[in-house]
Amino acid sequence: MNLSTRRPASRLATPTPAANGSNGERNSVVLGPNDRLVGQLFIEGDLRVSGTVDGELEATGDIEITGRVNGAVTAYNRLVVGSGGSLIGSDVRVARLTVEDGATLTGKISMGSAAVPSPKAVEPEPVPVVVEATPVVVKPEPAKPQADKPEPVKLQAAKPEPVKPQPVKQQTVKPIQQKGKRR
Amino acid sequence: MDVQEAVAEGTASADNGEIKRDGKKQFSMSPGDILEGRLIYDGSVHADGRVEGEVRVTGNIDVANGATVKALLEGANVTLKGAVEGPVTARDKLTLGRNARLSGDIQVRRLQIDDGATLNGNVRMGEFEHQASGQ
Repeated sequence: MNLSTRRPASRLATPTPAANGSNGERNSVVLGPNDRLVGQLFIEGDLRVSGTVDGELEATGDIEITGRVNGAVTAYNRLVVGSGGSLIGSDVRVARLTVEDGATLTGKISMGSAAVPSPKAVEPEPVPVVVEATPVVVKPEPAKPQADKPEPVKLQAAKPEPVKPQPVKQQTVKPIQQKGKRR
Repeated sequence: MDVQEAVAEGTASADNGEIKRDGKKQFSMSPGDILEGRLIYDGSVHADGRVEGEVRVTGNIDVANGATVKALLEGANVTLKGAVEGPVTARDKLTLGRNARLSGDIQVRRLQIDDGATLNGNVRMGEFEHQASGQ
């Protein structure tokens, strides 16, 4: 399976879905009942979701939802929400839509060929940054007095006092006086 | 509450437009009929021809294929086969047939959209706090 690593912001014109499979067939990705996706997924081909998705889905072919999807969905061709499927989408853009009885669908639905953007239109528009050209007036700075300069803070650490080795007092052992010698 | 002027043209009238079906009233329009204004009806409506304004019924609303509706629609089961422009509320189920074209926000409990139908608008699904306005 060829997973496209291209992000929507960087991709170019998308080839026809029928021509992007490795064996000439249409690419198809399946998220099983125990699968879960959090994030953004772009598929050149079809996508079937029977698991849980929290994020954006986009496919150049069909998208079939029998699981739970929470997020924006764009299907260049057809979106099918099965009877047990749930799509809570902030923005749903599809060319064709089928919703089976029992399905849950909430969100803004935009349909038709005009609603499905071309791949280039998907690119997030760059936020215009308004840079106002302000004239820079260079003023000769007067020599600052020395007092303004922040003095480097001297960290005075407590000087460890050198531990003087205490000389062990040697107890001189006085020789036992022998009484017999002093006389 | 302002009730606009309701004009029935063509073959539709209170006599031949209303028929009884299973003991329930049904207001039935033909392809050449025109309904303009506000209709609050204790029964079901089969809309055909051209409808403009507001239609609130206790029963079902059925918009025929070929009909042109620019109106607020509210009913228990709403089935669309023609072109509708305006908000739609189905207290039970909204069905969009393969030739239906709906442009408007919808609030439904259940939803079925057949392949070929076109929908543009916001969809809300869930329970309803208000019933059919029969006032």
